[in-house]
Amino acid sequence: MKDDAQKVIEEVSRNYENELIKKIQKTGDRDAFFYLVKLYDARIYSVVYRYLRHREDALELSQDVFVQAYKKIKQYRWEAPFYFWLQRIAVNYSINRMKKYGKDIISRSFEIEGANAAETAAQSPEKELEGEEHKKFVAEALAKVSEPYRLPVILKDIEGFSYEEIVKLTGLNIGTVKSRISRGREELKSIFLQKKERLKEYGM
Amino acid sequence: MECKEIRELFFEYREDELSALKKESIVKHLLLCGECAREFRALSSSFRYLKSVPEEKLPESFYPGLEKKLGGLRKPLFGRFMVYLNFQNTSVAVAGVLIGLLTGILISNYIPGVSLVPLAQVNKPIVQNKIETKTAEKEKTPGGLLLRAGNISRAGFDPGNSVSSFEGSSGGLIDPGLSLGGQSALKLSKKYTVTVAAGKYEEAVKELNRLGYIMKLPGKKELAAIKNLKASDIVTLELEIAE
Repeated sequence: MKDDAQKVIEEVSRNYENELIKKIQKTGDRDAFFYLVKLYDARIYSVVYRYLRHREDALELSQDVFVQAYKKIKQYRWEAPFYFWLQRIAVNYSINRMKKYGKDIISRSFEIEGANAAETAAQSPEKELEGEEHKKFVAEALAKVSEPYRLPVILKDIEGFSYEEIVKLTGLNIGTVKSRISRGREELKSIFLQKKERLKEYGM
Repeated sequence: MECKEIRELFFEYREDELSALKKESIVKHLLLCGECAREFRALSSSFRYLKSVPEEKLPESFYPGLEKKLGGLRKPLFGRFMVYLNFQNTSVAVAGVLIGLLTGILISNYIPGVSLVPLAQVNKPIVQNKIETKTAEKEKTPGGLLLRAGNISRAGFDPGNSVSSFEGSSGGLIDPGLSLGGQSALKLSKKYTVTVAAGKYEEAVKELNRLGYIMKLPGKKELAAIKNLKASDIVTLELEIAE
């Protein structure tokens, strides 16, 4: 029963999305576009933010992603799900931004976010951290993963894309994607273990 | 497998990305090796955290900002043609020129009374028809240099009137507002009046082009006037030739 209900909901929402896209492609309807943006705003923003680690840059960039999507929506050919199409724009934009202003973004992000790092490190991931702290814990761990590995790890382990999909999203070849993900995970693992060590020092 | 190898595969193991053989060897190893089992347990909760992390909260300024950016996108006049504005300006210009040329060619083919016989075959009748151009040629014969010089041409139409005349006497046919080029280069320009039967109009124009004149394409009004003509009507062209 539950599965059936789930299926119906999915079906309806997919139809809703498709109708919106068709409408925008035909008439360039702004309002319809805003409804469409509302379906994916936070998801796109999250990926961009976790990668760039800077709120204002992420905000700016995700807006740009949607503006670009609006401009190019006639080129969407229904080959992949719309979210995937959108995510590809976001990934391209993020990678380009990182290439251009990478150092700048990183230094600024440490200035702002660095102050909170020590605080949350003292808290145990074992305790069920709620909402904001949970996000912070993950964001901090990811922030320590070095740059070329971070985005593939985010796409794989948080967003749940498959290797093939990540290949399409990033334009890298499959070998590079796999090795970056495994190295990123390696780093992530040692980051988690370090956090554990520190927790022991705090006597938790 | 060694502890080190096993530990490298924790992520893949949790994600169920491993072959059955490797999975089994990890399970066995975790049962036997306390150190690895402890580390796996410690990491396992972190992995779960990674997977279940909620989406970041969208800042409130997202929508106002997006609206502003989208608002800047649309220029009031071009609303529905926005897509075409995305092209680079040069390609738009090239497309415009091409479209202009094509419509020009199409329109000129539509002028009634013109046969599509190749020019060489109708050469003789043209020469007979354009008596006036002959006089023009006569005046230009010395050196023939003027023929290649840059030229401006104007066409005026007077279907009911077959009178042809030379020089400034026929100035009344030209809209004074149009003959800007003539005024600025008075000394260098000469005016000729050519009368042609409407049916031979295009041939005459071709002939003029062959001689080195470049006729401007007729305007909308002129085209309408030409369309209404019978083949036997007479067209008076007033040419203003500047060096």
